[in-house]
Amino acid sequence: MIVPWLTLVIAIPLFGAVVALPLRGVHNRRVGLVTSGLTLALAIAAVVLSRFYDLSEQVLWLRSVGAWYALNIDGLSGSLLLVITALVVAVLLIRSGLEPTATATATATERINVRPEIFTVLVLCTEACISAALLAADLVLFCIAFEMALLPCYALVGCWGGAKRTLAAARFLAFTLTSGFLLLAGVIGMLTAASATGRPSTLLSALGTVAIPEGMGRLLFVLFFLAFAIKGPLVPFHSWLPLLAREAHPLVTTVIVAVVDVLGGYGMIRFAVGLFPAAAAWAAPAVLVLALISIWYAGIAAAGSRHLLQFGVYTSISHTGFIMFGIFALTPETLTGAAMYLSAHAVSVAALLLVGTVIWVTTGTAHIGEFAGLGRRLPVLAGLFLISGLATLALPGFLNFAAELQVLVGAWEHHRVLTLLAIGGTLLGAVYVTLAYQRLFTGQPSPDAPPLKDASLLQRGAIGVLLAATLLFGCAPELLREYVAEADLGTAAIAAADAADAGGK
Amino acid sequence: MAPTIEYQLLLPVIVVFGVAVMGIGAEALVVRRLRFVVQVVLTSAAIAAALLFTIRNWMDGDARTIAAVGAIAVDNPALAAWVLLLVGAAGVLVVATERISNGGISAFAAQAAVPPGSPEENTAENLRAEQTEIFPLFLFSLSGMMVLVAASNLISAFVGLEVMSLPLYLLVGLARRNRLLSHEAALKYFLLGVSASAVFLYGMALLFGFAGSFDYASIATAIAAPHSDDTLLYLGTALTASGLLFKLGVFPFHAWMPDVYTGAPTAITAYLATCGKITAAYALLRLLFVPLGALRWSWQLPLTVAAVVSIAFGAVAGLTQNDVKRGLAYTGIAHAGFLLLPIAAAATVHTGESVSDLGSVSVLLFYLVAYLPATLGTFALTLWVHGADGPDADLASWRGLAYREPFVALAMGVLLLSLIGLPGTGGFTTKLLVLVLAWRNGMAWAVFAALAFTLVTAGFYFRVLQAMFLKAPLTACPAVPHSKPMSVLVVLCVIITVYLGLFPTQAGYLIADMAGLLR
Repeated sequence: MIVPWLTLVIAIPLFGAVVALPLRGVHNRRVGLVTSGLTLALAIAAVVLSRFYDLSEQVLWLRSVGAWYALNIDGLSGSLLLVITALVVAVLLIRSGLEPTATATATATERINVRPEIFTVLVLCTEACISAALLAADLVLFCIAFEMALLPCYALVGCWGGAKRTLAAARFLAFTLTSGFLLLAGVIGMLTAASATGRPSTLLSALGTVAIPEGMGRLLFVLFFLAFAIKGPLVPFHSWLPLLAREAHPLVTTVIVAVVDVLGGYGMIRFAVGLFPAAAAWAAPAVLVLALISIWYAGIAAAGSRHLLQFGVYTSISHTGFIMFGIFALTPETLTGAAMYLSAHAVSVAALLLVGTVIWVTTGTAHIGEFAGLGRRLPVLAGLFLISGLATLALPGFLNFAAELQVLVGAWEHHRVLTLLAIGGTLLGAVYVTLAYQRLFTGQPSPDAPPLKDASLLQRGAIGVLLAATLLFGCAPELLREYVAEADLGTAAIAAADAADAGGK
Repeated sequence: MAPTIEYQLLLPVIVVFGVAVMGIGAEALVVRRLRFVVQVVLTSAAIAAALLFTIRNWMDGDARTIAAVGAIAVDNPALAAWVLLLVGAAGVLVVATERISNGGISAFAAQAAVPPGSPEENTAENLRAEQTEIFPLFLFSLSGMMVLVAASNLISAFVGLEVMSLPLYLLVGLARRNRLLSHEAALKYFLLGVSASAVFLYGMALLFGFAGSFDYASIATAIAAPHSDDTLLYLGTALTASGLLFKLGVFPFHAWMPDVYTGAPTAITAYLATCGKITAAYALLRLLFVPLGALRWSWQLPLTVAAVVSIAFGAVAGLTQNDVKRGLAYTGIAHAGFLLLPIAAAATVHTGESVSDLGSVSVLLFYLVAYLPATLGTFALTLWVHGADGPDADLASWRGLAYREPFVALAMGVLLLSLIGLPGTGGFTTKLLVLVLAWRNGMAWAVFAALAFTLVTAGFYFRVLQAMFLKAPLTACPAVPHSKPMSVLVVLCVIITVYLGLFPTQAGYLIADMAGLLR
């Protein structure tokens, strides 16, 4: 290819960030929107073109370890790329009218004079890092992009939000940096294993053929698994997220949960399972139990949560548990289902969190107990909340349902009891969504409550399009399923490992 | 027969040493008004000329030999170390000529022996008297470093060590602000430093007792030959290595670093942290690989342990520091551990050459190439931000820097990220190489420990970053001064750091070729 499409997908947001840096006010927002829109268009173009041409790029980066600047796109990374580029557009759209500022609770010494325009810059940088991680066809490049995403996110959390945002940022940093260093340790181990072949290469295509001894494979798997379990996040590695949801600006929480944390599930499929199928099978029972604990624990926490955004992130943690369940059921059906669920989850939880953002900013509070009867005062937002809630709880018709069904059907054959428990967890979803809706929107508003401005047309449009997309793909899940299933999800390697296992017996 | 001296190969050292002698003459002959200018011109000319001669020798691929009757090995690693040292010295010179406080007074005391605030001090300040002897002292020290990194027998190593250290003991004590701290630092550095030299000397004697020669090649031969008693050899190895580990600042020889880093004038701290570490690392590498390479099974484990403990100690102790210079001293101990790892990995001891571009010598060089600009730039910016407050200013002067001086904060941010080893900076590339090398040589546990404690080190660096970017400035913060030469220096440091992080390909090729040790 003469046009480096995939590099452009990464470079355009960076370029936009540089352009947006000195601009103020509406110009800055426009640059942000145009750039993110352009990136989305490029991502769509790349996905379409990749069906006909080989878009992969490859330039040597560091000879001594065999690291390459190598990009490629397939069903798994392509679908997620579309999701995150679309979500960035939605976030930047919603942001119009809700300038991120330190909330009133921040005292004078904590309030720092960050220009709100920096928000655009940081979000675009984050988008570039995540796109690079998704498109990376080289382990070292993935690791670099994965760790680099930390910096703009840290700044996003630390610059805007409540009184304890610095603490939230520090905790986010500690967990994410740990995750990054675990990944780095895994990468170094992998490089060492690869170097035994003489001319080392960290291209994913080359790493697939490296023979790794069993013990080493398990060690490396554990490192990769922990890195992505923190990123996911999976219970018990999740404790940074609820604090962040309370303290950070809600749009920042949305970016981190829906855009950045996609890498957790993605990395789990592509690297932890894809590179070490045998070790994944060895660890699967334990991970399945962890996944179930995540589903149930986070589900119960969501049902009890009194904070709007915290409710949203607990939903997300519960779903991450479900995604991990699908991945570690280790069948082609469940892996495809989990990959689909990853996209569906990102979109639906983003819609839920964006509705939460708008409610928080319009009403000035995020405490669920203070909201009785909001349905009368904000009818459109109530409706959007309900629809996105229904999407997240996987009502038939939404993409989440199709993905969930795929996972459950695939897992049923191998793990009946665990699958039943997972089904129970998804029913829990119905409980917490309806509970939240009831607490927020039903009942009579107090008579002296001031009138509130309902969602603007722009906000309705942005959230509506996201929900429409999950509905569209939910009604025709084959579109996504076929595209995702084309990707190498490590299923061949798993089948081979299974066969070897069966042969051994 | 008269010994042959390869003057052309040794020209860089001779130039630096010669100009240092000229500088002493200039102190006596030039009027006070002009001394500063004359000394700065002389020093920069010496460094530039030495750099030029080094590069010319480097280009001439045949000019690799053990010169001066086996005393100085002018080989690829020595040339690379000379280039690094001279470039680092040029940067330090820029920092040293910076005039920070009270309308342009240099950071060095006019007369070290005069108590601060005394009438003599005021007279000196009114006369704008300055300590221009620092420049010849600096050049003497530099020439010692250049000899030490290339030393091919124990005598020249010891001479290099002393010529490097003696001026440094003086320079550390010359800070204008907080002079008592500076004096204390100088005394501590002197007492511990001479003990380390004595230990090195003792080790030399024992090695001589074993091999009957000071020559690196002869010692290697003696080890390879059949012999009955190893006691002298092992003791000598331990003692000579300890002397150099002291200069490197590795645990348990690190005790001088926090006080000296804090008390010394910032330019001298930068000099110790960059050129000092480069010298110690190269000297240790040559000592352990060339004469003592056959003993690697014996020194590998203790060195690895020392490296890991240094990384751990520097990380944990650095975490609670509030003074940035002191914090950088502790993280400097951690970096010393990282510098020790490639040596301890002992890959290709006998040739030094890289195997598929990855060998101890080339990885050490790469680490130093990335470490030099990051450290130099960090100390340069520290001088700016601490300004007249002197070395005991705490994190408060960094608060909200991003909203007062966005570019200074941004530059400091990039350099600190490189010191942590986050991607996009040279620190990541080189940390990756060091750790891959270590794991490949069977030190997986050291890799895990190093990564875990790097996480802890990041705590200190991120406290500075947090203060700069996420805290509101205090109202009493003094303005940050600016000067053109330092701005250029800092910008260069940032560019090199980012370049090595994003496009290390070419640098990797170049550095892989600079690994062959001559014996």
